[in-house]
Amino acid sequence: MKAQGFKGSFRQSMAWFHTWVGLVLSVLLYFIFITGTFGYFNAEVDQWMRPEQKVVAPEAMPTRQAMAETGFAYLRNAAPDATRYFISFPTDRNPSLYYYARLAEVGADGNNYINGYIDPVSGDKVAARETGGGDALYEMHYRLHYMPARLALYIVGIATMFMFISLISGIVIHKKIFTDFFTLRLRKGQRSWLDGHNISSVLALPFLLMITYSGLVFYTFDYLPGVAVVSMDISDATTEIREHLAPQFKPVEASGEQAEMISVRAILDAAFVELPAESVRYVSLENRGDKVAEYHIGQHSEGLSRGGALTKFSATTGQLLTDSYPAHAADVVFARGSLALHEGRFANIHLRWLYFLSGLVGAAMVATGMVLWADKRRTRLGKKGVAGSGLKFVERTNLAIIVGLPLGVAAYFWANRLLPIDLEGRADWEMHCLFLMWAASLAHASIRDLASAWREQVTLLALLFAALPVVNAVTTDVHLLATVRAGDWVRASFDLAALAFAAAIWLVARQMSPKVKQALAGERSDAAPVAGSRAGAPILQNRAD
Amino acid sequence: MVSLFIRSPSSNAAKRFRPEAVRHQHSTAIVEVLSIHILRRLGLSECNGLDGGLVENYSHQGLQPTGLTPYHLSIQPCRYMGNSATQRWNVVGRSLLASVGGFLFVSAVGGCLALLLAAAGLMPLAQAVHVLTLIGFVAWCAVAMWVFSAASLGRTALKIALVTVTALGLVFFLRF
Repeated sequence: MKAQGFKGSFRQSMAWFHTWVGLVLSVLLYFIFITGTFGYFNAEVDQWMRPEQKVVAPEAMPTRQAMAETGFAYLRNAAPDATRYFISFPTDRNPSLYYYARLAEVGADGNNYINGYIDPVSGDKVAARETGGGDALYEMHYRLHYMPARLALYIVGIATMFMFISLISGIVIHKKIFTDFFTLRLRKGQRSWLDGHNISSVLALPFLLMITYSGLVFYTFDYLPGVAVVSMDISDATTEIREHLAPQFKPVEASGEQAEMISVRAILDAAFVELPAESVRYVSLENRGDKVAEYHIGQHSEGLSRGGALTKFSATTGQLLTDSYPAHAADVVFARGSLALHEGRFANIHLRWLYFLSGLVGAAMVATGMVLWADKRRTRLGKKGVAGSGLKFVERTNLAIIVGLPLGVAAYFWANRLLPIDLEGRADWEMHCLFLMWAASLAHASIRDLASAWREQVTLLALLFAALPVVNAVTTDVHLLATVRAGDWVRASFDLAALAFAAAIWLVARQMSPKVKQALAGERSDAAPVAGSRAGAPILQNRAD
Repeated sequence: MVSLFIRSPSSNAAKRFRPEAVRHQHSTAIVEVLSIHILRRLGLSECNGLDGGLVENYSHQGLQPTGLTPYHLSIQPCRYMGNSATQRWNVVGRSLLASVGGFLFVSAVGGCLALLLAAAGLMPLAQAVHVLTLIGFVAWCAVAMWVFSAASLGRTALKIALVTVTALGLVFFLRF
């Protein structure tokens, strides 16, 4: 009789595959989920982390033309030789003007660009503390940290592919997907972890599939260049594909001839004859100072697509170059839709919260999977079994990862308020604090007994988040009462969310106390094996699978 | 303690649960093992079709032996038995085949199909390449699952290699 498959039946093989594919890079996936989830509120976190940044009331906001003039005037002083200027207008989520200039040469800091925020009313650079803000936190989900961005991109790509395979194989092995949606048995040890893993994966399955696949679509040709390499000439492939994906962004080569630039106000005045001013998201000046220079006016995206309409004007003659492009092919519409879904920029505040919660559920799915794997091995050992160093290591690193990373995030926020304002490399030190706290969590988990370590770290996590509004009140003037009184609901929401998160962690800590006792029993049994075993728990001492 | 009982070969459980060596020794009966002790003692845990999870599932379902049958276990070690090094190399081989082999397979087949779509005038080459790359992620996932579910690593590798080489041959024909 022919053997059925690698590990028995197809479903059994996939169960094994799902376990290991999910487990191998689970640490990285958990990191990606937690940091990436902050991307849905990166601008809001930014505001909280820059308490000096003023919030301008909508009625006091200058016109788009005035703000563009202000921004370009600032850039002419800050980057007189730059070849590209870019100004992004304030939005509901960000009250400042964003500027970017591409320099002709690499600057002293090693970058060929400058960027930052300008007060839209005064035109001064926002004198906020140096901070990585919400952007640095969420960018880690694809750039990681302490490594070259390109390398990080590939590592994250591999993790994303693992996640995708794990999801599909997880669906294959799921016999009772509908039942699992409604099944959560608390305080049942391993069964609870399994239910938690199932419910978190089933509940957020559409989100998880979307976020994982669209994560691959972001860097389609970096992750899977093979199809293009096999079928196209390498020299032409990049240009042809770029023109297919974004015909409106076809780059124009500089002519080398200097020319006088028409003012940005004049161009916007002309553009606003047709375009509603509030629909414009940004204005940029390409090939600045050159005869072929162009003003690009980008609009907010409409519907489910990444990137809105683009209108181009000649910067030397003021002539409208084009405001319409060939319709995107279906595959490009699909890809842009996927990216828009991934980033959720179209989402209103309610949908943004749903995104945020789905991201946390994704992290919970990975975390419960990690705990379940270790717990299964622990259960198989029974009270009499002796856990190997591998299992002990996994149990302790599970704690340091699942609780340690949120502890690191809390430390990141605390560092934002407590580090000296004039500290050199302040933004870097904020990030160092995150990783130092994470390392401290691992050290603590290594030296304490497991049950105490869980209890102490979860309690510390709740305390750190609960005290965050207090630290904010002591160190800044944008405390919770002030922000609520001023109607600054973005900053107020951050403080309130920290309190809510602390309360939720506290409740979870209370729920898991029987589990902690069980883990404690497991720990003690290592030191002093007892006779007998639990009913239904096989005794295995010599194998780890 | 020996906890074994005999079930009909036609039962579903028996279909899923076939220790190779047991089957060879007792061709008319399939042995279903309800205790993991015996598996471990025999070193059968690494056999195809056997894993602790299945045995645990049985105990969760409350299945009990119908009676303790004195049974002389003159079972020869099956070919996978206890050979964890072989198992490890098998997993390494499958991992390589799923990753590198899957990448080459998807690239070759995707590239070939892109050229065919463009040659048939259904869409421009750049669009065909984009479409097939987007599909390629799903195909790569499917290949990885196939590799880790197939019984024989060698036969699967051979099939993947054959399709890849054929696709590359077609690419060569279409491009040059």
